[in-house]
Amino acid sequence: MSAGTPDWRTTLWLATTGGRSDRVRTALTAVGAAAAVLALLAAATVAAAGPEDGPYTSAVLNEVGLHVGVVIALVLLCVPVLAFTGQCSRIGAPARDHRLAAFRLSGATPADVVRVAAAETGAAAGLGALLGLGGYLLGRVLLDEPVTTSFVRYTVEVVDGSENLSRERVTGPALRLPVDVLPAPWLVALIVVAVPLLAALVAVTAMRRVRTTPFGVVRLAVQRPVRVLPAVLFVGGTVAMASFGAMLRATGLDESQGGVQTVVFLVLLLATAAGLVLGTAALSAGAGHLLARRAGRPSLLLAGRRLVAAPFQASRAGAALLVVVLVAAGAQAFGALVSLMAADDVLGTTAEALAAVDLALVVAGVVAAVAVVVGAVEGLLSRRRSTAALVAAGVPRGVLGRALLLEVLLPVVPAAALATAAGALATRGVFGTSLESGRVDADGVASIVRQAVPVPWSGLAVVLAAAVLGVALLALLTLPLLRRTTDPAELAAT
Amino acid sequence: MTASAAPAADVVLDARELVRNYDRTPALRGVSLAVRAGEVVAITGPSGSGKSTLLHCLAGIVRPDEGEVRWQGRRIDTQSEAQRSRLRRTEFGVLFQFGQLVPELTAAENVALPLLLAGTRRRTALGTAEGWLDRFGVAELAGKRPTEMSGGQAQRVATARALVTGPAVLFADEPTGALDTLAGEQVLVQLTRAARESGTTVLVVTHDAKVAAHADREVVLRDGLIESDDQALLGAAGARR
Amino acid sequence: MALAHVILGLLAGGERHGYDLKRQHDARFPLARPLPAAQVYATLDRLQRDGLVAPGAVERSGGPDRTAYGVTPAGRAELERWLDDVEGPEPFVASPLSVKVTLALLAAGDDAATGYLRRQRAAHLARMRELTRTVTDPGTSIAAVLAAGYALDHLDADLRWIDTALSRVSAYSEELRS
Repeated sequence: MSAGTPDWRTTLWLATTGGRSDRVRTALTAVGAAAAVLALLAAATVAAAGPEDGPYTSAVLNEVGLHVGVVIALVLLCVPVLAFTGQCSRIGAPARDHRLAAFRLSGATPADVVRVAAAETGAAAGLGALLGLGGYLLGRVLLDEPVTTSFVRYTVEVVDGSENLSRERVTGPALRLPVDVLPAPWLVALIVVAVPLLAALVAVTAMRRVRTTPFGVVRLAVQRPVRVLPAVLFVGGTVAMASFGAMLRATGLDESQGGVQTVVFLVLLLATAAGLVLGTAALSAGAGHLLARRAGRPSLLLAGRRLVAAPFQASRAGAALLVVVLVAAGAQAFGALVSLMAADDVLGTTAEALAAVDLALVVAGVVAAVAVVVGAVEGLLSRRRSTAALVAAGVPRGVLGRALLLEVLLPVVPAAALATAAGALATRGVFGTSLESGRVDADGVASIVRQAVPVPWSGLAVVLAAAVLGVALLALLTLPLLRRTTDPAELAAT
Repeated sequence: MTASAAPAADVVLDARELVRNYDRTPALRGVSLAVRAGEVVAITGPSGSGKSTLLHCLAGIVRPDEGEVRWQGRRIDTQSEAQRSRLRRTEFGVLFQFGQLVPELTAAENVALPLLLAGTRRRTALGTAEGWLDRFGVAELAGKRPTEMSGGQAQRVATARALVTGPAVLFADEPTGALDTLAGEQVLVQLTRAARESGTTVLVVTHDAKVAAHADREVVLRDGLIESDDQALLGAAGARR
Repeated sequence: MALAHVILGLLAGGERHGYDLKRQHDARFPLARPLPAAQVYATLDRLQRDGLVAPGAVERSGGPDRTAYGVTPAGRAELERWLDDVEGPEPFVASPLSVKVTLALLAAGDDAATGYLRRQRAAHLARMRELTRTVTDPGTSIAAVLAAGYALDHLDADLRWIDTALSRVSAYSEELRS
């Protein structure tokens, strides 16, 4: 009697059997992988662009020194994409769990089941990676015509052995994107192969917290979210960054090299972000608990109890959004400083750079907001039967709709406010709240002028409002779905 | 025709002093059972008596907290989850009350599943599966999905799946619980007939005496212990065929 | 259910004489108690007196005269009325099982009652196994399957009562002991 393992053909076939929700999940995974591949290929392209390439319409692309920033930004863009894909992996989870349990009953070992899950994600991501590559190549073809516009050109002159960087605004043909540069083929291949492999690896790791038994799938979830550590990380990190100068003096690091200071800054930033991410679960649970205790209206009670029951589900997607808000608030504060520094921004390069940063953050924010709503939709679909029972019992759909909105927004609002404040405080603390510059007046007298960097209140308000309203709007768009999926006819289906 | 006083060497499934608790609730409190090759055994008792738990322990789906389960002399309760899972695609067949067919696969694919998991080629597996569906009179359902068939038909497909690998033991837990009398009778008849033709040992958990009447031997559980085991009747009334 | 109606039903297909009726009855109801011939003749007499059957042709073969009987229109009407009628559920419980258990409890204690219940259960199950073999044998006639199924369901009902009785008796004796 053959007792071998299923061959790869069987594993792949088992991975691709699925109903409608499985197809949706596969499609979304492919989209996420395509986006990640596109971002990484763009990063590789920008990294490969040198001073001889171009010129481009964007100052950010023309100045080679800024390429590092662009590359980092594009790579970081993968984070909200990862959050989005992670949320999508939960879609159709009940049907898939049922299927996996049936496999186990028929004799699949736990390892077989993990292989199937990895194959499903890997295959979807592989498809997506190829789509991303295709999109990239297509973009290169479509955008390879230069446009005539005004842009800033950088030239490096070597005078007496030293380099002079000069820039001037000229008008002429320029490319919109670096389509004249091709990253090394091995890098392209690596990206296209690595993204699906990583996706499969993530799927395997996610299965670690899951026990598939012949009776069903049990998720080993930590019930009580950790409260102390995230609070310490977040508050400590923010305070340390807000009083960066004083902190450096206190720890004797103020005299050390700039590199060390940068590392310290990055570590604190990471700690703050980690505290924010880890703390959202506790925040969700706490908010839910408070709401449920004092709720007079059924929608509040429903939202509150659901948050308490599944705090991690709500927090995972929101975490990426919060990191984006944190960085966006920091960017606003940094922008205020930079605008002051380059008050004579004749060429408009500063404005362009800031605009580019804003664009990147908006894209990241949109992706993260979509991830949050995907999570909400998934929660809605998996609770379909009990919700349909509620509707059949006479609970007005309005109550359920309000509960859904509250459930999505309640963890987001306080956390986003905290993230905004933390981002602004941290940036101002690290980079200074005032700017000293030398000025020579008409009489030739040199003096030092100190200017206070304004707090970009309007910018911060926009960041916070955009995050909250963006999520709220997307959540509102899912209400028609609520209506359709909680039709009492759902109760009759198997 | 005589199956009385079979030698101990004929015992294929041997459980000794099984104890199993779920959280604090004791499900089995020291159950010992010896099953001989080819026997059709009914395990009955009121709900909460531990019958399903006993079946799960014997089939290697669940590990007992104490005690031993031996299959053909080898202990299976100490084996890893992976090894015990593999038993289910070669030597053990499992049939539950409901919920074990994959709704997205066709009947033939469902029946072929244990074979595919054991490494059989797809075409061979599907051919064998269709043969078993034919044997159970549901050949026309081969391309249909479980949602497109009645409960009785689905259970016959599930029975085919349990027997497709030609297992030495078939474990059934309330196989006809969700079916009406005639549909249930059909399933049981085909199950016991197929099993007897191939000499498969059958263990059926049921709370229905009419189902137990299809078996040669009845083991009654109450409160996690064996209350009676009419093994003694095997000599006369247990004669099959 | 009186034998009179059974005979009316058996005669509906055509005239038969007494012994033939007995053979027909035993063939069609293989699990019922076989009919004594005397009872058949007595019932035929009564039916004739009530005008529901009438004697027909007389056979004269080597042995004694055998009168064949046929059903009259009145008899057919009575048969139809009885077939339409519903069997009322029994008003009184005269089950020997429950009587025996009660007496065992009173006279010999709960251990005796439990022991009796267990033995009765084993006997019931053994009979159910035989009946199941009859029902599931593809060669069995439809009449035999129906009758065996009926017996099976009633034995099943008895068995369910026995299982419940076992639980009740053990709870009762625990109550006594506490």
